[in-house]
Amino acid sequence: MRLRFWGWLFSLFIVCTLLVIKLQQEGVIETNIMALLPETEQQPEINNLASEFISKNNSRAVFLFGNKDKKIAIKAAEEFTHKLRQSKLWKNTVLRHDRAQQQAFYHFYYPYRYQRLTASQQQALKSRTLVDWEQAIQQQLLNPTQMVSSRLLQSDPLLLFNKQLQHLSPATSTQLSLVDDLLMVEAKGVYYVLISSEVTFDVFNLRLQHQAVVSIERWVKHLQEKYVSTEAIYSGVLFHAEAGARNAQSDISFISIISIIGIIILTRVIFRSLQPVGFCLLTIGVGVLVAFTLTSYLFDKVHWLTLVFGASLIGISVDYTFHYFTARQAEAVNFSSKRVIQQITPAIGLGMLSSIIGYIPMMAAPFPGIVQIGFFSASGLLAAFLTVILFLPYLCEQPSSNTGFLNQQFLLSLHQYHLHCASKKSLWGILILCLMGALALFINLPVNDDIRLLQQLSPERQWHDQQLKALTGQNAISQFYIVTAETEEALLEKQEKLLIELAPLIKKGALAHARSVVQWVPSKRQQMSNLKLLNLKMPTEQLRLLLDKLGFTADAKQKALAAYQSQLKISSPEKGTEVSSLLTIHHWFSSSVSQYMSNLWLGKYTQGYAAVVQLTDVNDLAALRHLTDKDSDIFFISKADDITTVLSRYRQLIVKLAFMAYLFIYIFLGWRYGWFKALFIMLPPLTAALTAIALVGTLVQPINLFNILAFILIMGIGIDYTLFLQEDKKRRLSTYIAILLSAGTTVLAFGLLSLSSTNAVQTFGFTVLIGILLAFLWAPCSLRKNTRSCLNDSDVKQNDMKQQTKRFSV
Amino acid sequence: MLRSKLIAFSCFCAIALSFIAQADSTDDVFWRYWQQQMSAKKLTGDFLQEKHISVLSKPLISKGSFKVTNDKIDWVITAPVAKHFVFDQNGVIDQSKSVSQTDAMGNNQALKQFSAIFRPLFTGNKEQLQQFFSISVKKLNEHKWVLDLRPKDALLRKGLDNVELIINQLVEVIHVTETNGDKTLIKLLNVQTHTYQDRKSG
Repeated sequence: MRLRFWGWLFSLFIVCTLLVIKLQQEGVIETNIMALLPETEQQPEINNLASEFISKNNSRAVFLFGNKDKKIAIKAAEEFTHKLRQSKLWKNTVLRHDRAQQQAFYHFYYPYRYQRLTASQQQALKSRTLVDWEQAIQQQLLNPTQMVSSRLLQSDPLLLFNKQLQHLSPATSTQLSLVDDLLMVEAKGVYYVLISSEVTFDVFNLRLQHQAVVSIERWVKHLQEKYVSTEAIYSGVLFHAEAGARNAQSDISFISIISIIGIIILTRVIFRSLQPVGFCLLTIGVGVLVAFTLTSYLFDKVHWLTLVFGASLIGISVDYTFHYFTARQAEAVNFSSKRVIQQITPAIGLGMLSSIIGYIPMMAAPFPGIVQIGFFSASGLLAAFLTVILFLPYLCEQPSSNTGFLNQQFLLSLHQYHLHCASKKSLWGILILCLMGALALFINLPVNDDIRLLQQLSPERQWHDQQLKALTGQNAISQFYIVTAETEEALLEKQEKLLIELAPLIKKGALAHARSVVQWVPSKRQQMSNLKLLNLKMPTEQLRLLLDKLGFTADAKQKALAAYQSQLKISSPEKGTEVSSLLTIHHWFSSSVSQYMSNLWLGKYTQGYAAVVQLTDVNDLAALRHLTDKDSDIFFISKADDITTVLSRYRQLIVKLAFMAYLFIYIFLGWRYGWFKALFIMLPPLTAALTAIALVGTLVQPINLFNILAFILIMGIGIDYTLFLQEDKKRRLSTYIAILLSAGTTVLAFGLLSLSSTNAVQTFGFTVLIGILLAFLWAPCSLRKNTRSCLNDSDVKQNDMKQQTKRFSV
Repeated sequence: MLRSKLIAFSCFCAIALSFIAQADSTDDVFWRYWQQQMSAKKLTGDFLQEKHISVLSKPLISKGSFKVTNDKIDWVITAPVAKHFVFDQNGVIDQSKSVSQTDAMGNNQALKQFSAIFRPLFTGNKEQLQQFFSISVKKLNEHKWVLDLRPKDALLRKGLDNVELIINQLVEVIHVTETNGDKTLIKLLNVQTHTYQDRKSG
């Protein structure tokens, strides 16, 4: 036996060493909610491309500094930019957009004005008469906002470029203006200056994200003290990730601390000693330590959600310790730790086994988050169980100095009363009614699997996002298309086709806007088609007539016609020759003008070329998804909605798996106790779990996958109660107290999850709270027989001795 | 000897300072005068615009009416085409299209900037004008002034040489000269001022 003690101690030493090694690695705790996802059923290459684009987008952050005094707003922005540029955590910080850059747009795109016709210009060419053209050009010349110079008129007599230029500015938002090289917006007399930047690290890296956000908050505070009444608005995935992690950490700390305090108080009250608390903490500590280490090695990272559930593991793993200590507490004389362990091992072993069987469907789910939670819980429980049976008999060999329980008589009466009530038909009646009611409600329970429930957005961060959107019109990108093709030209053509299909949807309001590289670099086919259209609808002779009508001087007319003719020549190249005057994606990339939109071009990947068509303010997912049906090379990406769909599918899957698991448990219990008895063991926890879900789903909020997880836990713990009672043929008070303590601590641990700020965790807490209370209440119903009396442990011993004496006398 | 030099230097400084003070006061007098003319008033009138573009054999002539209220200008072209532009803090709206030109263009930063330059030419907002131009003021007579506006911004300087405003109590002529020689002459005719009280009572 002692060898087992040292063996387990040695194993724990190895676990600790492994943990220390693991903790050297960066980011062991995963905070990215997307990591809960299984590998989606799309091609892995497309996933990688989507992740690459999302990751690039995630690293971006936008800052606005505002003040009624424009100069102060600029000063604050300049100082903040300086801080960002000095920090190693930030890169590509942009405050000023120099004029040379703006002129570069003009110089780069002007030569391609005939190749890059806009849709309205194409339409105009198709429909306008010469008189229409004359009027249109005259209108532009008379428009006070159009600074049409004679040079422009001569080289671009149709005035095409001015319209095209309006789409090429670095200011992608309609609300921002470029003033003194700064992107600025004015609202209610406050001038805001925009700064954009990118983080140099993975935004979900806990340590670095915290470091970055803390320094941002410090700089902002300093600037607000220096420049009074300066507003600072900042937005980006970094800030949401940090707020989420901070929230989760405070949840974990709060729930764990309150849970431990509750356990300490309960233990002190029952045992009149704090010694069991130490051993409880040891059991819990070992359980969590082993679970964390094994999970981190098996999954590489442990998700924060697993930790939230893991903190709740405290409530379960103390049950085993309590069983040992209540049995020890009850033994006044001839205490033997080994005998006590032998006495309780079947009960806690069966409980542990049935719980692990309950976690099997979780571990079998094709959903890394759920598998992780299942594995964490199962391994933690097993480690805690081993600690109880291998450590406690040696670490706690002496009998308790205060044998018996405080208020023993009261507890005995409670035990008797509970058993008495359970033996009455009324409690069974209530149980059956609840079961029927729960089943009736269960069929029509409202469900909501929205992944966003898992990530409670901080109200402060939401305010910043809303302000940024109101001031600049910029919004987070949640949906986009990935378009793939074998060649670059085919990729551009596919995007052009997609944009044409999106145009009516934009008009209908299915989305606000679509952005693609082809809006800057049309396909060669489109460029040639534009030139041909000009040749067809505005041949040189036609243009000559138009220029006459407009009153061009002879010299200007000659020059304009010559320039026009030379441009249009490209449209009829000699066979087999490549047209060098067309705008190519390579030429575009080689210029600095591409920097604002280059992230939309994903470039070469294993199966060809890929690009992103970015969508803003999407309102009709189905319509946008439907467009991909026509082309298998176009993929609609909406991570959050994809996850919601997956959550929904896995909720349905896990319900099936859970019921399958209970069939296994039933077979297992049937083999031990007989089929009828096994049914009575399972019915109380099953009714408790179903009632809890039905109540929470009907009264609190629609159920989701996490309520199903709660269901599995209630079943696991509830079966423990009925099993412990079943295994104790003598109806010992110590067994009842162990169950009472277990229910109390579980309610403390899980019930406290209802205080979590994360919706899904909160409903999980509510479900477990109600379920465990009912499971405890109905647990004695599993005994079936009318139990008129129950005994405390010394009575049991006295009875045993009396029976032995009788046998001897006979 | 030194004493007499010091006295002479002091006299020189005093004279120079008085000139500087006088120069400042000319500017100040003008701005005070113009602000007084424009304060709490709205302007209405007609305009005649001549656009001289060197590649065109004839100037482009257009006419219409305008209305200046607060920091907003209604610019209505009646001939040869009918157009109605509204210049305000949000940019330029083409009322004749019944759609904001801003929306139609998809990006209004250039229009916003144009509006920011165009409005103070009529409203006489010194700060706004100084944001874009270096200003020199010349007094012709008691009520007539000439303002020479030279763009500060390098990009603006590339296209725009200067803007000359002739003010006779109110703006009378706007003369825009571009670097390529193109010129625009806007004559404001029948300009009337109204106080907001008039408008209310009216």
